Amino acid sequence: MQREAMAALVTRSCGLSIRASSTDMDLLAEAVPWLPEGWLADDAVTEPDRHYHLRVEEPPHTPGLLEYVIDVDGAEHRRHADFGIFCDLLENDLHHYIATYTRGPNFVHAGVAVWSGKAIVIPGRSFAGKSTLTEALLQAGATYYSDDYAPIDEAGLVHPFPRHLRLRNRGDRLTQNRVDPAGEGWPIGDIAVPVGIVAALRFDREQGWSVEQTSRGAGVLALLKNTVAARERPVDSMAVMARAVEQAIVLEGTRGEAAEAAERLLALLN
Amino acid sequence: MFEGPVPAARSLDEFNVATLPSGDVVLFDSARLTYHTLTDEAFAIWLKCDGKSGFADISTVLTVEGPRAAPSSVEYRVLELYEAGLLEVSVPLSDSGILTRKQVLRTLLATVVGGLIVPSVSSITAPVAAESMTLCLGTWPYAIGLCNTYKECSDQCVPHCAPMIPDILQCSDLVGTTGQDDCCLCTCRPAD
Repeated sequence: MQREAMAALVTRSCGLSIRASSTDMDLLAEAVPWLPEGWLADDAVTEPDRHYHLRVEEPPHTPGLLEYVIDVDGAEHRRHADFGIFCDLLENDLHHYIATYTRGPNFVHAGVAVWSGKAIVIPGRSFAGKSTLTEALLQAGATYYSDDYAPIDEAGLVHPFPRHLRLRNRGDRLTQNRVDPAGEGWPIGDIAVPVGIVAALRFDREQGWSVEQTSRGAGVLALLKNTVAARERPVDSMAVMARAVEQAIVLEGTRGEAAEAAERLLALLN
Repeated sequence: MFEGPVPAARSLDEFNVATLPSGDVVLFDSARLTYHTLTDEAFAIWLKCDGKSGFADISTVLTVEGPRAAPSSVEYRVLELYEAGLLEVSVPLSDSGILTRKQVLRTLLATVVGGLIVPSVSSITAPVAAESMTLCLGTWPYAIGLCNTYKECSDQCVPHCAPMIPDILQCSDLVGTTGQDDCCLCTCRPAD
């Protein structure tokens, strides 16, 4: 019996070892841009914390159609016929796994850009406009840290966790583009920084910039509301978020166009 | 000042507590999976709700000058604590009109002239749907949120599309959790 060649990559992120493998070298190579940086070819890690195996197969009910399949730890996990969605599923699962099971920092759903050595943290779910505001901050000269997940360590410092930004197309809020921050020439952070602003802002074109500075307690709640492990690691999460807002300005309210909001936020840190 | 039953706080042992340098306090209620933030004043009032002290006694913790120190604001703060689930439910604060929001606000407004009473207790339920939210919204360009029913999706899609109207509207299982935190798919079209 002929044994298939297997390519494998491994990375360590936030204390977790993750392996990605495939018998299809091209498939694995094409998926690499969706994976966090730092993957190395390695067959030595035989018992990773999580093992992704990627493959392509023809599903029995639709002959002629190829589907991309993600197996996790030996069991089928996700499949899709669209390669872009397959890669999104892989990236989302990988990021969510790290965010949930890390033994290190607490992850908050937030966009993060850094200005004058301080992080502007924009907590919120998708469609809250955090990617758009993050992009506007980058256009204004800020340093890119995160589009989706912000890791915050026990000292309350924010670490970079960059990926390609997912931006809604202008004039069509229902489709999205991936933007490579490096390709745009935006600087990407590489050190942990303190939080300067927690900007719990909601996009409202009619209301525009209507923002109040509120208490740091409210800032903790805004972060906890978007903390991945808020239920699994409550004591830890509370302590970390309390530390993160110690010196932060906490803003709540609505914003109008992102460029204007970015200018106002940066001015607060000047 | 209201007379009547005295408020009793739930035991501090039921909560994890973190205090901020600003004096604000964050509580986690592990039984109800809820986070609360209390101002220093609200926390002091909560600690004073010992099941023995009446409202007059509790008001002694309000030492700050200004509108916040108005004695009748104690009732409002206690009502906030009660509504946040931080008091023993056996205390019939709102029974028989003894302490209703309407009464409290009426007294408060009569006392605090020109002062704004800002909330001193805020609460959230610890988020649970992170995975579904991430997989759903991060992946599906037409997804605008999570839903368990068509109506829940519709309630999100209509304001999302305004001033346009929903075109495709579907609460769909896309991440393998049918009936629980499905994806609300929504596209919009101009109104006819």
